[in-house]
Order: sequence, then structure tokens, then C-alpha cells
Amino acid sequence: MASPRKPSVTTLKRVAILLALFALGGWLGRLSTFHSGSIAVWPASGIALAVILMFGWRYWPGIVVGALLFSTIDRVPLGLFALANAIGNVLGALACAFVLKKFADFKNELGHPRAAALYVLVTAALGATVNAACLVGGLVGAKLAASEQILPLVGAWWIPNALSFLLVTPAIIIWPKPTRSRRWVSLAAEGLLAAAALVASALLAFDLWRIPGWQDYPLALLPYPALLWLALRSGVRGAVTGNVLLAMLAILALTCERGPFAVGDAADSLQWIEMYLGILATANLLFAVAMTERRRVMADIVENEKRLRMVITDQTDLLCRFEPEGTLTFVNPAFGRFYGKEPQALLGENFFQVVEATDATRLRASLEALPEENPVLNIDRYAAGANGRNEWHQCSIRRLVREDGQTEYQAVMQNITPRKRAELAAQDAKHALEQMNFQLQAAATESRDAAAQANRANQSKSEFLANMSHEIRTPLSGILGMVELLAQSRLDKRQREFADAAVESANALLRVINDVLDFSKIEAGKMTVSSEDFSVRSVVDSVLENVAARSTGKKVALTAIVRRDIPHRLTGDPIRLRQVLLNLVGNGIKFTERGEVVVRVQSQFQSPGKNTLRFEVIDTGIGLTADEISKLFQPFMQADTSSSRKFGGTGLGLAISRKIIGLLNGKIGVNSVPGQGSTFWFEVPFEVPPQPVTERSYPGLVFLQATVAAPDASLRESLVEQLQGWGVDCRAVATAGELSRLLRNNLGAAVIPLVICDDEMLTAGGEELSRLLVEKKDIVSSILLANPAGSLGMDAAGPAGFVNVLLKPVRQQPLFDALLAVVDGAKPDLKPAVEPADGTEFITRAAATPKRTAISDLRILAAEDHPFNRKLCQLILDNFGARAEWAFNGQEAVDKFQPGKFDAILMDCNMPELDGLEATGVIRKIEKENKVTQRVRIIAITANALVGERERCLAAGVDDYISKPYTAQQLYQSLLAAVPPAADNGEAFDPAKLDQLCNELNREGVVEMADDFIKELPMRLAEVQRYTNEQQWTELERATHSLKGLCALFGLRSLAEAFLAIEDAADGADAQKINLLLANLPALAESGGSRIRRWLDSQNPPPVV
Amino acid sequence: MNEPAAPKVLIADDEVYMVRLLEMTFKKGGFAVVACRDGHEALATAYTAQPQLIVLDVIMPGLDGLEALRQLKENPLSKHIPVVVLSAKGHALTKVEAELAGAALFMTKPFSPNQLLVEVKKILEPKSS
Repeated sequence: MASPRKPSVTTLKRVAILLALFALGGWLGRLSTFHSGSIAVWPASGIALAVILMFGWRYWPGIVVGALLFSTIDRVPLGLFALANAIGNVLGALACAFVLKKFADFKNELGHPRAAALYVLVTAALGATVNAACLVGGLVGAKLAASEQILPLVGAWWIPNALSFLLVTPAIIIWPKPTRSRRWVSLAAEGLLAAAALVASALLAFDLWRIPGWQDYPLALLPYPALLWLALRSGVRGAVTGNVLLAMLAILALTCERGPFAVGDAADSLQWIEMYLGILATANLLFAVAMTERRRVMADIVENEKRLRMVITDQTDLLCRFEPEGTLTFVNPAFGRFYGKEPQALLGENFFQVVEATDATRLRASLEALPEENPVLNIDRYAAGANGRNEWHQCSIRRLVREDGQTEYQAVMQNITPRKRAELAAQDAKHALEQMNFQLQAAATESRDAAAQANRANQSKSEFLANMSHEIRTPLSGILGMVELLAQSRLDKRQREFADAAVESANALLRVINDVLDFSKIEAGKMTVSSEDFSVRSVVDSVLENVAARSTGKKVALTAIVRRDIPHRLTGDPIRLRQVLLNLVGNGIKFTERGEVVVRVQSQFQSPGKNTLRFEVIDTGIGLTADEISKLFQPFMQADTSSSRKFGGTGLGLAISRKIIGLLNGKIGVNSVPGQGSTFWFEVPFEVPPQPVTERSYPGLVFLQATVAAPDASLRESLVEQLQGWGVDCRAVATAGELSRLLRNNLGAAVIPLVICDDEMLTAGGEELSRLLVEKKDIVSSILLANPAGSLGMDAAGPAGFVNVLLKPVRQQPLFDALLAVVDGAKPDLKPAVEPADGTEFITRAAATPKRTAISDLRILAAEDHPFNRKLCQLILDNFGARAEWAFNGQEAVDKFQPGKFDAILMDCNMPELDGLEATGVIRKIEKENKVTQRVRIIAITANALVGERERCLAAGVDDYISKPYTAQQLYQSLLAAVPPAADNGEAFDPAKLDQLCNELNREGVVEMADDFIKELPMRLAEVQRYTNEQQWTELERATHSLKGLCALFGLRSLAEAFLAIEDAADGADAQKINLLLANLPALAESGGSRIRRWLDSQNPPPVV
Repeated sequence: MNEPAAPKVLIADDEVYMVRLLEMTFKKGGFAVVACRDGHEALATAYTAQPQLIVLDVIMPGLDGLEALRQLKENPLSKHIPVVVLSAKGHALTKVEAELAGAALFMTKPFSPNQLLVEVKKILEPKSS
């Protein structure tokens, strides 16, 4: 990349070499020029070609300069001749180089015969001719030569140029090439020796070294052997060197006019020697090239052979060759190794025997049957080698024809054991899979058949169930009727209880059967819908009455609000409507622990002759999640499978309801918020028949001015809706204070004032309200709405001056009758509507035959200042067969209290002198002073279940609390916990469990385990307490579940029960209940623990000394 | 033929005392006992230790007994191993679920160790004969 302005070092170096070569050539030329100015070799042209070939065509100016330099040194006068000569040199060299490079891809090497031959031809035919032509052209142009001399001159100049290309150029281009041989030192030494021999023989041949008499012999070819030697051993380099040496000596001899070519005439001598040199040099050069080529081919063959041998030797595949009858002619080491013999020892043995082909005949046959084209046999075979080495081989056997015409087989055996194993395993797996697939298909077919069969079976099952339920119901009705008759007959108390239980059970059974029957009927398509006139209000009332009768003891208000714009009479199927309502309301009550269940009926769409009613059953129960809702209307499903255990039921109710509503062309659904309650609703279209003349209306009612006093909004709304429907002037109050104020003001200027007072209002209003009602009873008539759960109404109605008592839920008819009675001034009989026996009978009966219950023997102190509440409490306790000593205020309670005298104290919180909680504190203090172990159970009775009230009670040392109004059941439950441990001594710990374990397992192990457990128990209790405090209900449930199991295992019954109760409460996340239950735990654990310890002591009697 | 080593039983129960009791019971029955505390551990142990019998408590933290049972019965590594399900809740539904999932035996706690061994022997015997 040398730019012309800044010739690089390389370029400079090259130019120097170039000039040196020309100078040397010139000098040699001068030496070799003899008398006539003739010259045998014209070195300048050879140098020029060498320079162009080696350095490239850009060096032509250097060549021109060099050629001129050459001419100068050679004493050729500078002038046209020298210039033409220089141009000829350049053009000849460029032409040769162009042709060689362009067409022969000449790489300045003469190693290949083709390249060498081409070089000789091109330089002789083209280079020398161009050179000579240019020179002669120059001579003729300069008129130094006549035109007829052209051809002889060209011929004369052609030869020195051709010789120059033949001798000088190769020497220059070959010598700089690096020598690659590793033995170059010995080769060089031999080369020198051969060169010396050449020089010596040439000196002799050309008579330069005079041995007398020798010059008469024709010795011209004497140097030839030495020349061949040099070429043979030193290759092309040796050949060109030899050529140059020979030429130099020959020309030297010529200049000295000696030797065989000095024939007298200079021109003849020149031609002789030129011929001699030309032929010898060409032959020698081509010989050297051929030898070099041959040597290279040989080396390649040796190298290939070595390579192949190593491949075969290192091959892990087994290789062998054998003749058609089996004789092994070649085996590789791997083959020998596998068969446990030296490869050499195996040669000559029979292939078929060595590889132990059991089917040798067949193998041989299939080898012989191989086709001519691609005669290769590929087989996998399990080969048994030496030393028990067994492998899977993939054999590939090819038939070959040897160079000598003999047929041979070549076998390549590759170890494919791992692959084969995998293949076999895969095959097995595939087989197994196919098997499985087949089975699956069979199973699928089977299950399809089974499904079809099941459908048919389901159909017939439904029909069967329908028939069967019907068949069962008929005799059951008989039983029920008979038992009811029996219950009404004269029976003693025990018999009555039995009969009542039988009626209840039979009714329950009947309900279940009816459900199943209905469902089956619907499934079997046998349910029909009737169409008759009915009153929606009566249907709703009967449903409420029915449900209320079944759900006594539950603190859930049940109210119906039927909009008064609904037609009195509608046409539809009241039986089905009732069934659906009953189911929904029943569910509402079932899943509601506290709060209310409200039935709301309103008109959704109205058109002449038609009315679509929307029924809503709203509860404040546990509510439903979206997931539960989705399953809700499916048969046999309850929202939570665990709830079937908790709440019972067939799980068919909602499914039946949905089907019925479907039959009635309606729709049904539910909206719910978990934990807050649910609203089940349905909409059903009814026909509206011509309405009868106002059914429930009485002109006198308009004179009434009613005040509805109830804390519960639904109840107020329900009553106001009904009263206003009858034309009664109506208002509602929600608090006792408001009612008292109204009463004091004589209820304004009403014609007939009336108070309809809820019993809860009365409880809240306390004595003052009761007193007011009594005071005003001559002016204001009042009706009490009583909860059948409490017995309040029966006793309180009289003293409080009520003219009537209606049981909740309030039905239309009794309310209407009561209103009429008020208007008519007739004093209705003071009897609860459903209880035929009067209140006194209830009391006397309880007194005459005291019940024996678990709490009958409890010694109870009851502190209550309010006479009304005292009475109520007394009634309930009597009913339990329990008796109480009474205190009329807190101080009295403290005075009457003595440690150990009572099992339980019922403590009203609001009392004069000393209130309930203060009294509790004093009692606890007394107990502490007396170091009482079994403290008395104090049950607080509070008026309000305010948030914080509970904490206040518990802080004061109360064991449990119930809020007013309480049910008999609540009181009973709370008192039950007071039954002293003495009574359940037998139950707290049952050693039989541990004894049994000891008998079945090794005693020491069981004893140790029980011992560990008792030691660990306080820690476990602390854990339970912690879970409770942190409200980790799931953890708590799990821990108590576990503890329950363990306590049961060790026979700690009471503890197990307590843990079970906590587990259940944790399930409902009922923190209040859990805390109450937790309060009992330490005592239970203490007593259980001491009993186990005593048992343990009995197991390990102290060692006898 | 040599009598093989003692049959191995895998016990999964989160309650240490229950584990101790079961351990005593099965040791008396001539079993080698491997115990673990929850369902996940039980699965891993069952796959690797290949016990002759697995005893699962229903209520366990993490993976409960019934779920563990289902997974054991789904896995070809363990589906052949008979499983005993122990439940403190003698609820019929749990029993049905356990049997549907492939339990060989369902027992309620508290149980009699001897009875458990008798039942277990019944399960394991037809295989050895």
C-alpha cells in the first residue's frame, strides 16, 4: 500500500534490491560478453520478470532505471539501443507476468509440473519474443539496423532472453522462498556436496581444469549426473542453482575459448552453448519439479495412511473384515477387546464363530442376498462378548470387492446398549399406555352406559320415592292421629311427656316425608297446581303462626308486613304458596340466632285482573356467600355441609321451593351479605277476582286512636300497616319514655284511645310504665303483645291492666277481634291465645309435681328488686324444679351470702342500695378472705346488652351474664354450669380410659405420656388464651380440636367437653361465648389435672424401703 | 427366604401425644415407625420411605389428612400403600369422604390400640399370604 509520495521502507528496500540485482547482472553480463559483443544470456530481462512477479507491476519504472543501469555497467552506450532494450525488458516481463498470473494463477512457485511447464512455454514464446521484438524494433527505428536484418536479429536476441528467463528468473524467485523441511541441515550439506561435484565436473567438462589428454574426450555431458543429483536431492532450488552454476561455468569457458564448444567461430560456439544450456536447464528444471511433486504425493499418502490407521485403532466401534466364508482378515483393537483376544490372534478365525451368531446360516444367507447396488446389511443384535460383557450392537455389514478381485465383507458394530434400553423402555411404556388407553376407553364407554342407566334409574327412583313416600305417609298419618288422640286423653305426667314426644317425632318424620314426596313428585312431573280464591294475609299469618310455634325459645322476632294495597282476595294456589313461604321463613328462623325475621309482601306489577306479588323473607342470620348461593337451590345441598349437622333438615326445601315457584310461573332468588343476613324473595303472578264487600272492616274502628309502642321497627310497621288498612287512626312510638309521656297526657283527645304495647317495651319501661298503665287503665285500653318464649304476658297482663294479650307473631284475626272488643267495651278474657290452661294452672302444676332436672338441687340466691321480674324468675325456676332464696337488693344479697351456702347467685345489675356488680365485688372479696376453693357462680342479669357491659360484668367477677328479656332456656343453660363439681366427680375424669391404654400398651409409656401431658396442659391453655386474644379463630379451633381429642383419650371428660364447646364457638368466631367458656377452663383443668395426678401416683407406688 | 425387615408405618399427626400413642401402638404391633407433623411432610416421606402403611390424622395444618390421602392415591409412587384415616370428628361425612378417597380404614379417636392393630393386620394380611 505504498503511496507514491511516501515510499515505505519496504518499497525502498525493494528498489534497492532491484537496483543491486541489475547492477550484478550488468556486471556478470560484462564479464560474459566476448569478442563480437555477443552475449549468451541477457540477465536484465530475467531480473525484470522476477521483479514484476515478486513485487508487482508498479515497479516498472524501477526496471527501466535498472535496465539502463545494467546497460551502462555492461558498457552498452546509453542511447536508443539501451532505451529500447529497457522498454523491451519491461514489456516482456509485464506480458509474461500478466499471462501467468491471469491465466495460470502463477504463484511464483515451480513445484507443480503444470506451473513449471507453463512458465517455460510462456516465457520462451511470449517474453523472449516481446523482448527481442522491442529491441530489434528500436534498432531498426534508430536506423542502426536495416530492415532485412530484423528476423536474424530477433532470432539472435530471442535466445539470450529466453535463457535469462529460464536461468535467472527461477533462481531469483525460488531462493527467497523459505525451506520447510525439518532435515534442512543434512539436505543443505548434501546440496553443497552435489554443487561441489557439479562445479568440479563442469570445470573438467569445459576444460577449465586441465588434465592432460582429457580435452580430447567428448566430456560435455559430464556435469549432467551431478546436475541431476543436485536436482533430485535439493528439489527445484537445487535445480535452478545447478542451472545457474553450469551456465556460469559454460559461459566462462566460452570467454576463455576453451572446452568442447569452443569451435573457433564465435557465433557457432555461442549457438552451441546456448543450445546446450537451454536443453540441459529445461530438462533439469522439469525433472526437479516432477521429483518434488512425487515427493509431496508420497508424503500425503503416508500421512493419510497414518491418519486412517489411528482412526481405526482408536475407534470404539468394533471393525472387522472377513471373507465370504467367514475368515477374518482384519480386526481393530476394539473388536479384539470386546471378544477378549489380541487382534492378531483373531485373524484367520471365522467371523461367524467369533461373534457366535446363533443364526449364522441365516446371516450368511442374507449377506449373500445383498443387492449389487449399495450392498449393506443393517441389523441390531445382542452380542455376547468376553468376561460376560453383553451389549446391544448396531451392525452395519458392507460387501466390498478388494483390489485383487476377491469379495470381502466389512462389519462395523456400534454399542447402542443405552439407546436400546431406552427404546425398549419406551416401547414398554408405549405398550402400557396403549393398554391404559384401551382401559380408559372401555371405562368411558362403561361410564356413559352407566350415566344413561343412572338417568333411567333416577327417573324410576323418583317415581318409586313418590309412591313409597305416599305409602309411608298414609300409615304415618294414622299413627299421628292416634297419638294426638292419645295425648288428649287422660294421662299422667310421664305418659303425657311420652305422647308429646311421639307427636313431635311423628310430625318431624311427616315433614321429612312430605319434602321427599314433594320433591319426587316434582321430579316425576306429578305435582299439579290448583287455582282457588284465597287471602294472602291469612296464608302469611298461618305460616308465621306455624313457624313461631316451632321456634319457641329463640330470641328472634317474627313479623309480617303485608301492604294494605294488596287485594284481599287473589286467585292462585295457596297451598303451594304457603309451602314455599313456610320453607323460607323456617330457614330464616333456623339460620338466625338473634334479631328478626320479617316477611314483606308488596305488589310488584298491577294490571286489570292481574297482580304480581313480591314476597321477601328478610332475616338477620348468618347470611350466605356468593359461592353458597350458587349451590343453594340444588337438591340435597345446604349452604355449608357442616350446617346440616348444626341445623338439620333434608336440604330439599329450597330445591322444592324453586320448582314450585317455577310451576307457579314465578321467579325466586336471594340477596345476601355474609354475617348480616339474607333476603330470600320470590315473585308470583296471581289473578285478581272480584273483591267481596269489605271483609274486615267495622265502622266503629275509626273511633279508635291506637298508639303502637314497640322498640322493633318491623313490628311497628306491620301493626301500623294493618291498623291503617282497617281505618284505625294510628301512630307509633319506639321508646318507653315516649309512651309514658303520651300516657300522662291522656293520649290527647282521642275518642277511644288504645295502646298496643310490646312486652319488650314494658321490660324497658320498668315499673314506672307498668304503674302508669295500671293508673290509666280506665281511660286507656291497652293490649299487650307477648312473646310466647317468656311467660311474662300471662302473669303481668292482669296487674298492668291490659285488656288483652296477643301472642307474637301477631295474626290478623285475633288483632281484629281484640280491636273490636275494645271498641265494643267488652273486656276480653285474660287468656293467652294458644295456651288453653290458665296461668295459675301452669304454676300450680309445676309446684305440685316438682320436675327433676340437673339444676333441681342447686342452691340459688336470687337478687332482684323488681317484683314483676321476681315473679317471672320465680316462675321459670319453679318450672325447672329449682328454688331460690330471694334478696330484694344488693345489700341483702351480700348479707344472705355465706361461703359454701349457695351454688349460684342470680344478680340483677340495677338494684337500689348496692347494685349487682358492687354486690358481686363484695362477695368475691368475702370468698377470697375465706380462701374458698369452689367459688359461687354469679350470673348477672342486665337490662341492656350494651357494648362494654359484658366487660364490666366480667371485670366485677361475674361468671356469666344474661340480658333481659331472657328466655327460660338461657337461664337454664347458665345455671347448669353451676352444678357443683361434686356432682360430676364421676364425669370429670374416667380412669378406665387410661387403664385400658395401660393394658393394651406398655404401662410405663402410657404413664409417662399422661404425666407429660398434665405438665404441659397449662402451657396449652395459655396457647388457647393467646389465640383467643389474637382472634385467630382457625388456630384456636385446631388447638382445641386437638386438645379435645387428647382429653378424651386420657379420660378427662369435662375438659374434653369444654374444649369441644370452644371448638364449636371458634367455628362461629363467637368471641363472647369463647371468653365465657375460657373462664371455666382453669378450674376444670385444675380438677382434671389433680385427678390424673392421683391416678399417676397410684400407678407409681413409692419404692418399698 | 428371610423374613423381611419390620414393616414400616408412616404416621402423620400434628399432635405430639397422638403421635406418641400411635408410635407405642404400632411398635407393639412390630412396626417400624416414621412420624411426621403435617400432610406435606407425609407425602414427601411416603414417596421416599415407601412404608407398608400410612396413618393420617384428618385435621392437620397445611395439607389436611383427606387432601393428603387424595394426593397419595393419585401418585403412582404411593397409591398401592393402604391408608388409615383417624378422625376426632366421628362425622359420617368425613368417613364417606375418606372412603371415597380410597382410605383402607377409617377410625375415630379415641380408639383402642388393640383394635387398631387388629384392623390394620386385616388390611395387611391378604397381601402377605
